[in-house]
Amino acid sequence: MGSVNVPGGKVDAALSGASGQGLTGSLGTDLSGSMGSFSGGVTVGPNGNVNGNAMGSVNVPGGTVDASLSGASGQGLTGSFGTDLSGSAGSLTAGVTVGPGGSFSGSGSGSVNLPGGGSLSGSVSSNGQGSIGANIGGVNLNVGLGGGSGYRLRFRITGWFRNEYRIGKRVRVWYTSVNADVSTNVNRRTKRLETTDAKHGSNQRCINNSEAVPKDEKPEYNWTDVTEEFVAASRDLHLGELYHDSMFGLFEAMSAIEMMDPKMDAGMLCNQIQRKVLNFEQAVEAGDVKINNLSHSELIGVMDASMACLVTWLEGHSLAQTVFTNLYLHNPYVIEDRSLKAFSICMLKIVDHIRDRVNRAGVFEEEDFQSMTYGFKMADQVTDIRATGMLKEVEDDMNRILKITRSKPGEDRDQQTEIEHEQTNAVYCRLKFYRLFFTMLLAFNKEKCEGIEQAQKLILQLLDLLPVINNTVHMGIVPDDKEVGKNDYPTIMGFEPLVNQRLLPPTFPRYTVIRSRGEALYHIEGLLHRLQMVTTVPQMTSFQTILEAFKEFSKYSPCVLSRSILQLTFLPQNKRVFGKTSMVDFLKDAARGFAAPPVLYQKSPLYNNAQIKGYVDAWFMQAVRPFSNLIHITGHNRARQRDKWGQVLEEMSTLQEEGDKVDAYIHGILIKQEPSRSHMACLSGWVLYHTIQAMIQYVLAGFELELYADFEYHYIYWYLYEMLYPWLINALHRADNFLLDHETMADNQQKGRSNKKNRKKKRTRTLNKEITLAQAEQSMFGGYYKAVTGFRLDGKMKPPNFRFDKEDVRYTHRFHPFTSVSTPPCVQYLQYKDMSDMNRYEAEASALNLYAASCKCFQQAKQIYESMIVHTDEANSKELNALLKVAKTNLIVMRLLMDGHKKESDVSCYCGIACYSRTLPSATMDVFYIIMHLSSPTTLKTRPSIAIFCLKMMISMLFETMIIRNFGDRSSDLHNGKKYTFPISF
Amino acid sequence: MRGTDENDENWYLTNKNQFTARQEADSATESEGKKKLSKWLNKSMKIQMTDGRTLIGVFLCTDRDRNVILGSCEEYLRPPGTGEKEEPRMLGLAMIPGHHIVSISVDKSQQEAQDVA
Repeated sequence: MGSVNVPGGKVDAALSGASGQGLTGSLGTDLSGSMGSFSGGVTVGPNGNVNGNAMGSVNVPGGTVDASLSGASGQGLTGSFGTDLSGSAGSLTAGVTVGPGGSFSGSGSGSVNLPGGGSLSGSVSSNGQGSIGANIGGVNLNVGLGGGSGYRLRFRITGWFRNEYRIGKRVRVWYTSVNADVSTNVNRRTKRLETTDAKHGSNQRCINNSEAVPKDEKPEYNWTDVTEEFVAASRDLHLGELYHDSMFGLFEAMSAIEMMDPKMDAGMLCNQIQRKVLNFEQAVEAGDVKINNLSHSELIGVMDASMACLVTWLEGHSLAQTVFTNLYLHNPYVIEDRSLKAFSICMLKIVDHIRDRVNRAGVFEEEDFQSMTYGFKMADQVTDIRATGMLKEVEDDMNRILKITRSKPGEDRDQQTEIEHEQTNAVYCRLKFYRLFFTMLLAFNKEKCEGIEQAQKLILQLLDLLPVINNTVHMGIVPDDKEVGKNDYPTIMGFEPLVNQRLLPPTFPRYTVIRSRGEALYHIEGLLHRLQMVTTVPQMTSFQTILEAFKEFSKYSPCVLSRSILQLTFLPQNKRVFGKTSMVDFLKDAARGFAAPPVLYQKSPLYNNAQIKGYVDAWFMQAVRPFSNLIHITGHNRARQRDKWGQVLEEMSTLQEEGDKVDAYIHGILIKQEPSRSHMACLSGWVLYHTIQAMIQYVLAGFELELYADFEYHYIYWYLYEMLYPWLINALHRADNFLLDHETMADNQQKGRSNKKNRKKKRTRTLNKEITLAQAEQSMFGGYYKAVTGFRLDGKMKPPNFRFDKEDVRYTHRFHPFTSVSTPPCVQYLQYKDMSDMNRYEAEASALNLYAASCKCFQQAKQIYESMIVHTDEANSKELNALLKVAKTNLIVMRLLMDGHKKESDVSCYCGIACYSRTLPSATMDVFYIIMHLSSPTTLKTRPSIAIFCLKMMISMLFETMIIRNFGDRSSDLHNGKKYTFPISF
Repeated sequence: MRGTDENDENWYLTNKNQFTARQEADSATESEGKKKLSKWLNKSMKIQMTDGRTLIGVFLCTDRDRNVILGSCEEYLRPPGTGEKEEPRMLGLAMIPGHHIVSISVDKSQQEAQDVA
């Protein structure tokens, strides 16, 4: 089953084979949309084997999945269940059954994501080994084990869950609320161990702040000290010998965390703190934490510190170590101070809302965002309206005080009143800020983007409040000046960094450094500006502009919250574009804009052909997923995008092939009616364009992530210059012809009515701009490619002495994702070698010739950019100017090289960068430009490391040679890019 | 043990055959110490560390320097049974370097259950 899309339906699929045969196949199902159910099974007879994914990927928000993989004796099963039940409550049952002597490898459920509660049960039964990995938030996990022995279970558990562990009739139940990797070996001996456990009934654990689960009931132990015996016994082992069970080996041992190693043992450090850590109730009782009569400066301090915690959380740290170091948030209901209570509740609401948004958008990875709540309550008894209402009430009170203390004409205020007025104002602004902030977040969540305008206004108000808050940060109480430890740091009243130490996951410790209050506000300001950008998105109409805008947005490395809100604004929960248009209609519009497929126009005779309509609609349905993915990818953090661009190619390629078939069918019919027109590769051409764009993104992301070694540049540039850009230009040309066809058609139809002048009118829609831009970029990459090849011939860039890898291994690896795409075909290494062979074209390829050719390419790019700048508006010309500058400077270097300046060089160096450093500083700078060829200045901004490096190099060169050429303007360029300073040391 | 991990691996690779042969010989005439270890294998074990923490988990693996690996390991800040009850922290698979071990205890109740069986 290639792919099934059944919103709100039911799928039942089975793949079964008789004895002695092999099955290879995959069941991939997308049940997105609404509640659906899926059950798929793979059954293989004896001696058969299954290879592949039983369920490639199943997406069932709010549905049920039932899948099983079973085989008879003597066979091997390999498969994986990958299931994403994100969204709401769902359940998954996956079973793998293997007969005696068979083996199962792979994971029972590759990754299961059930954030909204639900239940998961999986089973592995075999005589071999199997493992089930599941990631569950607040759900039940049942793992049933059939007969036999020798299993290894591995769970990754997050959140609350009831764990049931069954062997035959014996059941063991325990509760955990951890983020843990639990791995258990089950074999004959442990079975006996379980028997003992079963005697104790259940073995339950829970964390302190939940009433729902029964309290501690540990098994009783009867400890006997065996230290001496153990030491003596272990002496019997040989050096290097590990004494272990047959089921436990070096591999397992590797995944153990090492105690007492500060890099791995988080508990070691918190244990070193000698002072007593109090929880909220204890602290209130002890009088350490006030819940009433807080002074203004205390309020300001608590609020600002909370903000700092919130920001730190948004930067990827865990809630327990950030927001919930604030004791007030553990139970805001007992706070008597009204302002603080309202603030605390609102803070919880904000945290909960953000968590929900980010979870839904799903554009985060573990390094971006920690969504675990550790069982903390998020003030869910209070409605959103009540929460803002509470803040409004205290705000009004504050306002009254403000009016009293305000300076009136002709009356001298005493200093006391003046200070009180200022402080009250500071508290007032903060309360207002949090209320508006929460309202603003809620506004983004309104249906059909109806809240966007309101959000826009709120953002402006919030930005007005920020300076006031910034200027009053100093009024808040500050922590004592104490020694700062890695885990423990001094805080103000109400904050306890160590209160949640027991909730730390058993991973290696991550030190959470809470942001300073000033930094937090700076972050929030940035967030507000980014959200301001988000509000402009709903005005965009075409897929193309939106995709471009999203890519542009991503270049600023936005935070996870703004990325999530952007994604949800475009495609909210109902999966309609901006909550209004269906994705299918939106994509049809996009296709019309790109190549004007005749089949999508009412005037075309094809439009009403029922069969064609059926095919086209089905194809567009299929296109929804990959195209939503394109948008989704841009929402991920910069580092993750490369992988995702690579992954999306397979889907795009399938869609393209399907599109080809649809096109061919339509073409067959169209040619009979209108012999002059064509439909070949019309729909698929549109997909091809986006596929190539994704490929280019993939390759360019490698530059940004600094993945390529300099000796790899030549084939990377070659691929862009000779493969991707020519294909892109070709795809654009074809599409442009379709657009032209369409306009001539429309003109012809109008001819009766219109006069002659109209015939000469300028084309309204054309892809000329895209084509020229692509041509310019191709020329640039051609220039780089030829320059780098020249360096290589010249011996300036030496290929390393490969010891463990070869160039073709690297090459194959670099372009590996492209193998899944059929058009454009992936160029294999040998093909590349063949195609890029210099001797094929010229009798003698010399470095000088190559520099000349490179020169020509940059010249071409320069001309194109210059001509484009004339026709573009202000906003775009900035980027074009930057590109032009790169082209120009590179042109100059290549000219210098062509004229033979290199001969003065006596230093051969490890790469093109430094090869002219002794003799020709300006040329070196320009070679920098070549290497940092990535076109836009924003890239420069995002890569301070390179910029710093370049600047340092330049300065050291200048120091050596005392030649100041071209330095001023370019260094200032780098300076403008980023606000940083670096120590200049010689 | 981490330091010797690499050596272990090399040791495995280079002396695999030799090792298997020796293991076979060992199992025939298993020393007193190994018998004891095998008795404890997969049993609950309590280990006190030099910094005062107590770990309880299933004994899975050890070596000559009594580096111990415990499975499903729980961490207690104070020895259990003394003073107020304390929530353990789940660690999962944990390796305790031999020189950080203060004392080792095994669960007698399980031992008896096994002896009966």
